[in-house]
Amino acid sequence: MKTISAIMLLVFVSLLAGSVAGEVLVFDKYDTVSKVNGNTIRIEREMTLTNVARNPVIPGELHFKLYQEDGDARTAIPVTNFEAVSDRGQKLNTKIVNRDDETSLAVTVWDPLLPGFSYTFRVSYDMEFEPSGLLFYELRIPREDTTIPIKQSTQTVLLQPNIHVTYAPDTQVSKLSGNTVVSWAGQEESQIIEYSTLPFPRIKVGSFALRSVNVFWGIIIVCLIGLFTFSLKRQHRIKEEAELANLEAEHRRHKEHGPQPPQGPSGG
Amino acid sequence: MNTELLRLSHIFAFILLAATLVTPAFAISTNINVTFVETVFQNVSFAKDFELTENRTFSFILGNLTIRNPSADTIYDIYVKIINTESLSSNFTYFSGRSSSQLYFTRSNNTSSLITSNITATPISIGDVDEDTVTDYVFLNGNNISFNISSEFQILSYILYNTTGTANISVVPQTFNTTINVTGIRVDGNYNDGRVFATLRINGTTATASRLNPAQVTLNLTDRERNFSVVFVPELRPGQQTVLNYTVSSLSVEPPLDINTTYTNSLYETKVLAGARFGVRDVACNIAQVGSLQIINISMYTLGVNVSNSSSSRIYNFTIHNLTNTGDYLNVIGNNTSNRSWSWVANAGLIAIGQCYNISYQIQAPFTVPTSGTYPALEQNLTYLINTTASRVGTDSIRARANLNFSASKQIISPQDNNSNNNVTWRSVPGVSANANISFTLERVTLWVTSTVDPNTVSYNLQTNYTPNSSINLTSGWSGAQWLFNFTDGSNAVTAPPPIVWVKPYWIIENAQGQILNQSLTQNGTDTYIKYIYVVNGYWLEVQKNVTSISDSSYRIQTVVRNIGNGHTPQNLTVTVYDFIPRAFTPYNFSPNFNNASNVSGQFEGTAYQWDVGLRTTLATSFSEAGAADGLDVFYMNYSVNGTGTFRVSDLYIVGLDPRQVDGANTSGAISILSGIASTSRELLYLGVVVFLVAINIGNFLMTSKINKKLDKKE
Repeated sequence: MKTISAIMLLVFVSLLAGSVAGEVLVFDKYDTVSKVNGNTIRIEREMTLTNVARNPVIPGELHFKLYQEDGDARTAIPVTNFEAVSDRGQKLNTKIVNRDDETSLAVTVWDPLLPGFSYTFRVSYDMEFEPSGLLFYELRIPREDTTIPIKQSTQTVLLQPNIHVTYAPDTQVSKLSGNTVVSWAGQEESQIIEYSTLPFPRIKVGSFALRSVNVFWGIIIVCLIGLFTFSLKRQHRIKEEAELANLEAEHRRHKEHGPQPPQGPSGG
Repeated sequence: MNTELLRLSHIFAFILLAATLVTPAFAISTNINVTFVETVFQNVSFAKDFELTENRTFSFILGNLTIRNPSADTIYDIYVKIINTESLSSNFTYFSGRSSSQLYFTRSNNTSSLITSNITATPISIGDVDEDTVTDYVFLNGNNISFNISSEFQILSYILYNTTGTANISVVPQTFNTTINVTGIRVDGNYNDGRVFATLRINGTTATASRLNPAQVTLNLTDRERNFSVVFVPELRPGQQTVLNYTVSSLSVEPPLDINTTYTNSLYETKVLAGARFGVRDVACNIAQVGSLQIINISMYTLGVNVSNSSSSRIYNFTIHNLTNTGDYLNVIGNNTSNRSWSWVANAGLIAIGQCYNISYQIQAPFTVPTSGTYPALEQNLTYLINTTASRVGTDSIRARANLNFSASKQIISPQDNNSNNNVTWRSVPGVSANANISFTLERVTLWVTSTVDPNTVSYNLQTNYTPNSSINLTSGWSGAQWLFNFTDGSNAVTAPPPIVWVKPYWIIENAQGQILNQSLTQNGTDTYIKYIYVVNGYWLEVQKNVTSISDSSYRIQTVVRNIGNGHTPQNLTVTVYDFIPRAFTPYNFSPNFNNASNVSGQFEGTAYQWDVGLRTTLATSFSEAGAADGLDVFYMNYSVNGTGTFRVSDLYIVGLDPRQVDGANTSGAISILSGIASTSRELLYLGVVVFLVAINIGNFLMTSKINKKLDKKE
């Protein structure tokens, strides 16, 4: 005797019964706040599900599948402190399913949703993620792929106070309580945020934004190449000057002693 | 001949007086009783459309006006002027009693009249200023301005404004009163306190001191009275009455007793699970700004949900519980003895204007409802009384008359002059007295003289008015001062007939000593307030699966579905149970047989089986409530399987209930959100290049240094 867990139930039922065709639920609101703190990112997301169908709907389970790109491969992201709560303060059932290629966060919403009505809830979790970089760090957030439409969304990334955003096209960068805030609305194909502890500004040439990491390292490399070129030239010049000095010394010696007559036998 | 004519004229004059003006004098004590009763009808629902809002199915106030003569004498010329009629949505209509043809109804349209031409002896129309459908006039009467207002109900009141710019007539209206004679119009000072019927603006020039030149006066009249109605009853004989109805617009007049409801459920305010309770807070307020609500009683009783099909029917009732010890809870009756019927005598039955009182309690939804939906939970019926009309409709004045005695004497008292003509001085003295035990207010007595039988043609402007405005009764009559005027003695009846003296009294029954009663009240009619709540059909099902090894590679499977909730599963909805048998197992001996099967693949490889529990109960539900006597709170499914190959028994541990049946709702498609994050960096590459460049720079530096040293040695 065993009671089967809810996820198996859902998967099973969805496999068997299929789902109602057509647009039923939409996200009227999908606002995400990501707080970057070293190698940990705290995600706090508020969503509003709206029933746009003509019949009552039970949203059931919502799966937030997380992955990190590692080249062409996808790997799971370790997640902790996963919680979900409705806007009325009701704690929702959650679970984390770890797979090789993704981490699935499931939230259960069994409240019937009448036609035209909405259900607002929040999820939050911590995920371990180490941005790559030495002096400049990069976060790249691909467009989210959802099975129901997102009508309106905002993304906000909060960085530590000592962090400077050096590249973040099509975003707004501001300060909030000392933190650096990067925000944008809607779903970009792939949003890149580059930041650094160096007080490097965001660089734009016309409407084209330049990656500061490239500019910074490019300047150093160009300087070193210039220095090397200059040194080579200097060395070459010294060599040439030394050879010239030798030739001139030899020429002076010729002038001072003239040419020597050939030596014959002596009579007497 | 002249003497004969004179004598005949005297006789004729007194016959006219007797025939046209004197009324029979057989009155006794009299009362007029005017009563307004307004009855409120409304039906209010709360949260009927899921939203926590009120909806009024109907709401109106029906008014009833009764004018009654309770005395033993005939009362006539009864005028009831009714004010604050703005909120009426219908005219006063005859309901019962004396014939409706006796009534008329007027409403003020704020008419105005502007006369720019000079007022002359020829009457000029000033419109229907008193709105009795008869045109009114103004004209010059000698040096006086006279108004001919036709209204029998003397309601014209006015303020005179001096716009002539002449300082001599700056005292208004006293100065004008000396020159303007308002014929047949009562100037009611009571109307001057902001309720002026009409404003007359008179432009003109002064003639003699403090006098206008009437020939140069123009008139501008504007009707400013509020909306009013007049009900006129020509006659009510002893014990008779006239009853009229009217309706009040609910848009302008709110029902006086208002209940505001708040649901205080812990998680959801608008819906509740079947069998669960939700909090209710009722606030009863007196929102009628007219008077205290009295004899209040709000009866409360819960309603039921009918669960039925073609063969059976059963009512599941909402119940009320847990009256909170806050607010006006001490005035709730029945909470300790009933969970279906309470009575709230708000603030002991008396709520003053603007005051509110509240109670809080819980309503429990029935455990069984046919399906999720909005159901009426509690009905409240309101009863109350206010000692005035909710609409403020009421009487401004009640005027009525009864018989009284009046007279006028006429005699020659002396020759007018010493000439040889027949001009003499006449003396006339009017008198009025009561002839029954009725107290009257004698407002005015008018005497005038004509030389013909036409009372409209005043001779030589011979007219005088007495304005006693005094009370007369059986013991106290009124006698006017003598009026002397010069006229022919009638000796020559052909060329100089004697004067005909006309007398007309204006009187009403005095509004004192209880002679006129005026009452009004507001009471409830069908005043109902019904609360609704959306009940979620929250049955509770449990599914269990038992896997028992019965031989090598063989297992007996028993799946048990049990309703552990207190209510039936939804009516007419079949609970469906699913089971899954992995591909490595072969099933047999299904009992009962499954209803459907489908191969599935993916994470789960095998066959899914479906059982429809069916509508087994008498109420067309799949399951009865837990522990039901019919034993239909449980459903068993049995079968066996044989494992083949490298089967895993743990794969048998899966079973499902169809969540689509919960709440009768649909499931949505699976919702998933795929979110990625990535980070790449070329800094290591850049760093390598830099290190390399630094290295070759250092190498180059060392090389250059070496060359320099060699050169230094040579030198």
